[in-house]
Amino acid sequence: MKKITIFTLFVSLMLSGSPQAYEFGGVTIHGFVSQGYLKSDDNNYVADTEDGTTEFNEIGVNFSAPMAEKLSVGMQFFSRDMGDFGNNDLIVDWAFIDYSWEKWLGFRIGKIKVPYGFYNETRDIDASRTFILLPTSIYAEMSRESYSSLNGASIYGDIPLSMLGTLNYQFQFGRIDIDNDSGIAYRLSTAGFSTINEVDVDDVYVSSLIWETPLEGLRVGWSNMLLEIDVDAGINMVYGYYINTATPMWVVPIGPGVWAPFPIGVDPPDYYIHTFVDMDVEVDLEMLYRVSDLDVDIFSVEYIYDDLIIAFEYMTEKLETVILDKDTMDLYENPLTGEPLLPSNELETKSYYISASYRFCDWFELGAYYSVAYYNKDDKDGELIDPLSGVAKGARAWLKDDCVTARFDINENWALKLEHHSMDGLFYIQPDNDGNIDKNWHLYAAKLTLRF
Amino acid sequence: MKDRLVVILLFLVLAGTVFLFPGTATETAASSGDVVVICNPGVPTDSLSKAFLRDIYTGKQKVWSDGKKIVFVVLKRSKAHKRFLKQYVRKTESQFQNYWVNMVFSGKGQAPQKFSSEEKLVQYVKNTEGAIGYISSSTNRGGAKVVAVQ
Repeated sequence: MKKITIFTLFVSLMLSGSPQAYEFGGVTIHGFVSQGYLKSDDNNYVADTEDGTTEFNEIGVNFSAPMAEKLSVGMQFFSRDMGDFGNNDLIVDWAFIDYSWEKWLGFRIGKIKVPYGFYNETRDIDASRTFILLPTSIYAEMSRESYSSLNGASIYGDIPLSMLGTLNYQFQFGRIDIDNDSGIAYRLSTAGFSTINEVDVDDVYVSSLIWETPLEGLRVGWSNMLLEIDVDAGINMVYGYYINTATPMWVVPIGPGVWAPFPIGVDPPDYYIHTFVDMDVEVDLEMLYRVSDLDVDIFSVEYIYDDLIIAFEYMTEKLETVILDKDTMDLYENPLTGEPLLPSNELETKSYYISASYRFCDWFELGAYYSVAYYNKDDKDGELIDPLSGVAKGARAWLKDDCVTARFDINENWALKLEHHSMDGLFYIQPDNDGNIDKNWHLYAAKLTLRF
Repeated sequence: MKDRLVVILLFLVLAGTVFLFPGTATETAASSGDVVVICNPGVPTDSLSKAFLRDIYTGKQKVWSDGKKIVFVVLKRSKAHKRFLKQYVRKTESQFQNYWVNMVFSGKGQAPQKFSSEEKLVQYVKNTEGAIGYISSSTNRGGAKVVAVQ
């Protein structure tokens, strides 16, 4: 029903030509709608892309009004669908009161967009960028809802540095609401968790500094996010062994009659090659999966020269994960040996991309980027043997994306984009509909977008 | 490997385009003529710095020195619009538009009102307290105050 409503709205807006912003009694209303199509030749990328999918849309409407010279208030409703995510549920994207006391000091209170990298605050706005999919190395789709906005307060401003340019700062403090069916759940399901009961995020601290340098068009930024996440989750595990190794291990189901060592890591074809012998020991574990001291740093550079925009962003994510017994809050024990089922695990990811785009004329723009994400910066080739499962992550340890995009601006309100991704790696990638997975694959995207 | 070569080649083409064909998508100074900045007669200044003007058009400067709200307006697609943006805001037309799309949809600001003709813009600036805009130097100022930009 929701999809029919959005399709109807989209067609209506198409037929209306170029709608404009509306104003009623001092309240200004803006909106955007976009509808896309995704298709992959192998694997599934956050949706049933192997068969091609139109479950890829965004819609947003915002209301804003100035209350006084320095005081304003606004809110935006947002809905999106991208395969398993969003499902066109209506959410409040942001809603805050803004008091801009001076250019160098302002305050916001409410639900505020998170300045994560240069483009997180504006990632929902397809109309304002070249690319359909932002580089997944920094702006992963599965993290989108989690890092979109927080409920809290911020201070911000621009500090003039005389001959050295300007320093823009934002500091935020608050809490994040994460739904049980969000990307966090998706990430855990790719590791083998079977149920996600609740996701709880403790206090979140966000810092952002952007230096607008004296060199015209060059800005350099650093942003940081500190948080802790508790996931109330369950795992259905079976004890047994593959006949090629005869080493007993815990496995989790990944398909009808198909099992994988927990946490899922190795290239799935191995699961099919060797028969698994079930030792008739099965447990359903309810646990607390704690991601503590999650520390995200992003270093960003953007240079604009006339119609050319070049950007580079580098991110590290440091985290410690531990699985606790919900009742005792101790490490979960192996039901057979009494040893810790999963030892605490420290991890540091590493991701980066470089992009360039050029606008040739009023209606045509070309862009390209090269994006790289590593699950573990110390295991770029996926060869590190997991102490529990006894297998390496293989191609699940990285995702390298070569992307090329063409953007056509039909008029000031409408834009059409076509995009091709050549992928190497399987970091958070799902098998195709037959359970197969291919390390080298392609993703095609098209999107029509309207803003008013 | 072949795909990576395509991306690298595209990067080089994009970068090379800027230096081989400068100004293909933007108006050159010679072809667009000069623009003048105009204000409502009640605005408490006769001159502005380039930095102050840029802050106004990027939404960072919100009030005049007397505390009154700044109401900044723009022309729709035109040579004067492109010329003004390039000279004082240091953005192309599409970059300026995308900047304000981002500001509006992240709740950080209200996009400027757009005018399809310079005459209508002059009338609006003349009649609206705290208003500022720009027109071609050859257009009649119609009672709006011209301010120098230094």
